[in-house]
Amino acid sequence: MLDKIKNSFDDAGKLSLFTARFFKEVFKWPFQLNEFLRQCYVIGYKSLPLVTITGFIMGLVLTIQSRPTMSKFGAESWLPSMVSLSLIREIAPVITALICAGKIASGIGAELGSMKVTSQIDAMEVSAINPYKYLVVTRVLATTIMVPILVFYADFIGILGGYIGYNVHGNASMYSYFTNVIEHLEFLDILPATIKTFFFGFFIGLIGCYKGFNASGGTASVGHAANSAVVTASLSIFIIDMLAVQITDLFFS
Amino acid sequence: MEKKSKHTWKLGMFVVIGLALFFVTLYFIGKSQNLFGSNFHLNAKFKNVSGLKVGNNVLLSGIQIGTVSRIEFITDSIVVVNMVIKTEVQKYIKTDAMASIGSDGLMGDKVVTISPGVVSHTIVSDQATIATVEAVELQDLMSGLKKSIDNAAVITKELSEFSVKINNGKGALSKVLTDEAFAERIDVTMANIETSSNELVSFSKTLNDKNSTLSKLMNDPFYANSIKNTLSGFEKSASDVNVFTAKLNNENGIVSKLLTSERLANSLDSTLINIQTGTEKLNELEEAAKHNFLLRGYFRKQEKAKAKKEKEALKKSSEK
Repeated sequence: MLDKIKNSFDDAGKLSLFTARFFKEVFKWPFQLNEFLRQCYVIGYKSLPLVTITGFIMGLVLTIQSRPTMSKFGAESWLPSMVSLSLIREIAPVITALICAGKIASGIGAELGSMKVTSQIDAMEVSAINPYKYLVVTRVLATTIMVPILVFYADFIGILGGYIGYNVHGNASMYSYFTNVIEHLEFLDILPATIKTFFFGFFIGLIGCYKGFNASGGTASVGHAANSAVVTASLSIFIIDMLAVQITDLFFS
Repeated sequence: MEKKSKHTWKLGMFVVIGLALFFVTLYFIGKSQNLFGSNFHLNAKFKNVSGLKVGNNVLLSGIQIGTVSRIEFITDSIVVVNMVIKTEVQKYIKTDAMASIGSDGLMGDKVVTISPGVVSHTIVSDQATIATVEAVELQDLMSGLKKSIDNAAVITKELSEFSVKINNGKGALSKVLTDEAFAERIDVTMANIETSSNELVSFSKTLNDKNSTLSKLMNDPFYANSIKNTLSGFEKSASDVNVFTAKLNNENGIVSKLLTSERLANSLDSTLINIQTGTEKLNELEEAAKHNFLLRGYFRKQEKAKAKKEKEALKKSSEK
């Protein structure tokens, strides 16, 4: 029992050190630009179809599901703004981050874990390449920047899905729908939501890398690293989300 | 390397489109809140802003022209609302424009409505303060409504009493409305009126006939002249009468004396007494004459004729 508690604190300490090392390394020359771009491509561009489908379905479903309640109040005309608000403030960031946690964190965890257990990371170190800089910094930076952009896509696609969902029963022109959406949006809806997606991206990359980097033992630990990366990343996303919403609520309302 | 560059443009496109979406959204939101473009400010002082919030819309003729940017107290009872409004509509807002706080739909947000003025032609300046119309509170509306509902209740109550009276009472109105005999009488009266009016029509026709006397009287100048003469004759005689009465009233005239003088009355009285005494004496004289032998025969004849006349009269009446 005591060991378990000690282990979890040990884990937290290691993660903190890992994070500190990231910030130390990120400002150090040289920067692995090509590897960074490749990771951006893999993380951002390759996740786009997944995010598009998820975002579209979320917008569509949210609109269709909200309609009965809204029409009970006779407030069907508020559907576009309500759906877009909930998408932009909460649903698109969290859903996209969870998708990325599933796809990217597990991928990074498995990739780095297998490199670790097959001693490729040690080999890098031997050949005078800083493995942390080459593997971790590029990936964490790539997720930090790509996840927010994926969230923008998800916002847009989700609102578009909301339009189609709205037109299942209603009838609104594209222009009036988007006017309605924009009319009820404020910077306060978009900026905190955008800022928290950077944290989501950062923690997805960081936790994936940490889990992979600290894999030890046989090939089984690769699977374990991937699994634990997804679980921890998803959990951290919800915790960050909660913190972000509370801070926003505290300062801006 | 070739493969990598292929990846790079896809990545570039992804990033550019993603960021473009973000900035376009930001731009539109900013535009809807008048953060870009040129704006000017207007102030309006309210006693009660009824839950108006920063960011609520400002409408002019129903068009959104700006937003509320600041709401603050200036004294303990007056709140000043500062509005950001597009410069392009400044020329439509004159100095006598009025601001009021309304509601955007039944459940919607509060809005500030600017109603354009009528008289002024001066355009408002930046940071100007415009007049306000106090919003009608729902509570005020309700209390007003309650008053009229109470009045309506009183009215309907009295109305119902009134109609009950009409239906059951014995007043004239009730009779008018319910009594059949009365209706018949009215019918008859109406018929009579009709007849008499018909007769009146024919009568007036006769009157209007040119040869009738009345018509001649009315229209013929000859008649008018003769009437005039008659009237002037009347006038003359009236003036004569006037002169006559004046003479009568004159104290020296006999009639006047007869009417007014006391001395004359006394002398008249004594004269009458003298005459009475005279006639008595005459009676005595006659009696004496009857007994006189010279005159006795005459008196006897007279008596006989009288008795004979009476006899004949008696005879006639018995025969009848």
